[in-house]
Amino acid sequence: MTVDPDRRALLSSRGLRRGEHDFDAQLQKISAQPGFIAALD
Amino acid sequence: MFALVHQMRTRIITSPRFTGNRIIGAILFENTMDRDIGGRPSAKYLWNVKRIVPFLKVDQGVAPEKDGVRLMNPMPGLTALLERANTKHIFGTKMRSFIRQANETGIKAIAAQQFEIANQILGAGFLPILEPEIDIHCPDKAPAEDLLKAAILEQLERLGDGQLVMLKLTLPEEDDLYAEFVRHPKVVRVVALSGGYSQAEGDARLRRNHGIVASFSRALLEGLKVSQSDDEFNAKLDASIQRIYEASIT
Repeated sequence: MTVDPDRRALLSSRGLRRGEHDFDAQLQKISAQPGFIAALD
Repeated sequence: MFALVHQMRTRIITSPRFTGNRIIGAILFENTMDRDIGGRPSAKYLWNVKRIVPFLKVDQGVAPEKDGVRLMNPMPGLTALLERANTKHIFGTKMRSFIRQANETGIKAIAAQQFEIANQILGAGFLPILEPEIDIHCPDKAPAEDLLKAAILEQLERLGDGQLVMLKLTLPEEDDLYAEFVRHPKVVRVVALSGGYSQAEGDARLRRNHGIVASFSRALLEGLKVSQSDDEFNAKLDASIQRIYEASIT
């Protein structure tokens, strides 16, 4: 995986890409907001 | 063919009714990820414009049945696909395998494979959705669900500190069977597939399974047609979204 080492250092202990692409906001939304996931695959 | 599919996907995603107020995430297939919507990569459009979290289907289909289950095909291109997904602003992944019978050997193999690949996906920095679907026509569906629950719980205990997953499961015969997963500290969220149930049946079952939210495909798209006017299309989509949303917030 070609993640910049500096950004990798920002990864949370959860092993996720903290800090990338609004990752924290996305994780917060997917874990807590009421709603559902559209399966368009 | 792909162009027509993308046209329909684009019509859904760009609909004013399709927003992050009621839809928290969307699962795309590879071709949609590789194409643009509204002049930017599809996943970027989903998050930046709609505030919907983008996921990518990463499996390559399922293998022939053995021990009552169909494992996922090998994924030799997974590392390269995840690298591309990273540049396309994908947040998480989804992968599906299939359970036909309540066979303990097969179901343990399904869980082991799902978690083994989830480890690789977590290592690449994505949040994996594990989808070990149980056939809604499985003659011994409830026993299969009990076996799957036990196998998943065993695998969850083996996850490393801080490793998190999502689960996408067939709606069970016993209401709230998966409540333990809803509360589990290593499970970000439990979502349900519609798996051939009609939208009405899927919604009814979902309402009875508290804390689980929908991840419907066929049930979401039910009644949508290319030939509909924008007003008809958006009204139909809005009604489906609202029904699925209401069933997801119990």
